[in-house]
Amino acid sequence: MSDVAEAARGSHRRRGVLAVLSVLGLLVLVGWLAVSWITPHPYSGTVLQAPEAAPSMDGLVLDDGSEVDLTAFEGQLLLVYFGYMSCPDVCPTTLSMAASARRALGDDADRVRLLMISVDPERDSLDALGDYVRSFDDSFVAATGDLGTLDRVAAQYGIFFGRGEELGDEYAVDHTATLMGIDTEGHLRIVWPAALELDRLVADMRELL
Amino acid sequence: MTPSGLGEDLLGANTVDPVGDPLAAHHAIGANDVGGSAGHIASRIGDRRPLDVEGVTDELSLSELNGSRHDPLNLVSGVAFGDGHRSGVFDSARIDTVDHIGADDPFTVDEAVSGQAAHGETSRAQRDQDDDGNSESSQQRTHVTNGSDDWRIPRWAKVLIVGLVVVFAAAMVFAFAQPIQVLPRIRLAPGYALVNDAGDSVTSEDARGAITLYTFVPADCGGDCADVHRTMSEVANRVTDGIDLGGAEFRAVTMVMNTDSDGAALMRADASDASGVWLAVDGADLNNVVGLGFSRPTDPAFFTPGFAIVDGWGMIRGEYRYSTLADDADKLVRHIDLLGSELRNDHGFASFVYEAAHAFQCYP
Repeated sequence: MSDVAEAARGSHRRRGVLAVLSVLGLLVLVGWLAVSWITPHPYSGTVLQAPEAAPSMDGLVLDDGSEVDLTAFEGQLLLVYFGYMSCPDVCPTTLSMAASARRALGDDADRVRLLMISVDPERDSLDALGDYVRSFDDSFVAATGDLGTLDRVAAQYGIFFGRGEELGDEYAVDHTATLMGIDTEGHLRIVWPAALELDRLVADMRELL
Repeated sequence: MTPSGLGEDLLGANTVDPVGDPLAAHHAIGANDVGGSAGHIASRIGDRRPLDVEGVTDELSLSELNGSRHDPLNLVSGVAFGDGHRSGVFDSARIDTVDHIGADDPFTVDEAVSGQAAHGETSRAQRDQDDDGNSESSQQRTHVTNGSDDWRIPRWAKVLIVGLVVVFAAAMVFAFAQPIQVLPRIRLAPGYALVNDAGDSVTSEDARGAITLYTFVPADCGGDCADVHRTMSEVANRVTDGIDLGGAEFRAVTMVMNTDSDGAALMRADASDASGVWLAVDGADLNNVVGLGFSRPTDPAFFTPGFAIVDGWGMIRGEYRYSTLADDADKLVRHIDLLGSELRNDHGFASFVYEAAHAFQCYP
């Protein structure tokens, strides 16, 4: 009988332990979810808390001759960069980084596009722009427009540009070198600084997707 | 009664104090096999509460038991007390009933073991006769407390549960009490390349890394803008003198609309309190920068005083479009102070806390 009593007590004890472990497991799960919910993703760029629709790019023309229509990019993460073809360093560096980050996304790469807007319409033709950006990634597209349109669009994206140092017949174009992200719903969500780290950019892009 | 079975005294000679009539206690023993959970018994007995085992005969009424004022024993198995041996461990299955007796507890019977009564009775009768030379013929049942299931939440589990509850509660308190406030990241400030009152080019890139307070006034504003100029100067002085911006520079920029650099210079000269940077905005820039960028009216007919705070990353963090009863300068200084606090804590764990404040929209 002592074995029966012992077995009964043992059964009680096991059920009790299982109950405690179940409750603890549930609490750990809830706690982990709560902490995940509370802890924001450490973006490497500046995130807009109340994202608004990305400013219109009406008036700009894509390298295929069509007008820029941001709605055509809905469902995709659109990276926007203002630069120019003769840019010596920061532009090719940023485009190369963006291309690497896109490839690193694997299956999600198709959901990411990049639009480079040339702030040097005098020297950057649409055909040349298309070849230039697709040398970095086949999915990249480019656009430009007249100076007035570029002024309007660039200002709304926080971009400054202007003719800079003259180098003989050549000149540089000073411009803000930030990379922006328009999310899948067409909201301007994030602004990355010029100095990017590939891993963090990839992580940010995954989070935005 | 001598402990048998393992023959081991699991409780210690001084652990138990028998209460009540020793003979009654003696008679109440139903069995004397060692068994049960020694650890459990020891933990109960370790309270040093006197064991109160009622020797109950069939003649005793339930009301007498229910009226017992003794402390509950709450033992699952075994009864430990002595009849001179000071301790012993007994098999609960050999005890006729296992019960819970408390001052107000109703009498209950553990039916599962009640079937052992006959066996226990016989054994007890034999032992009684052996030990005392007397035979106890009365039916006696031993009622001891029937404790709850003998598992408890381990201490480490209790600590973990409390910890998780504390963390969750802290998160809720943070979300609702908002001990930390931040200015929202509203939208991108417009990029620009303008000319100041000295005729020099000033771009939005010159403000990168600085906290900038913007205001927008029409040319020839005159006395209507006196309060605006005074506010800009007061804020600039108070921020420069009294607020730690974590190493960031503070800039006050007045955009004078519908004029060139000469006009801006004239206006600055007329302003009684003129400080900071004065920029002339005209033509397309007026629409792009002031109208679309800062969402301000560009028609002088619709002028109202307004301000905007832009952080070092080019984000508009505050827009102040309408005058309120609160003093504009006080409000602007207070909000710039919030921005300064965020800048001072933009590293390490504190940065996560401030990002959480953004996530929870802890805005002033």
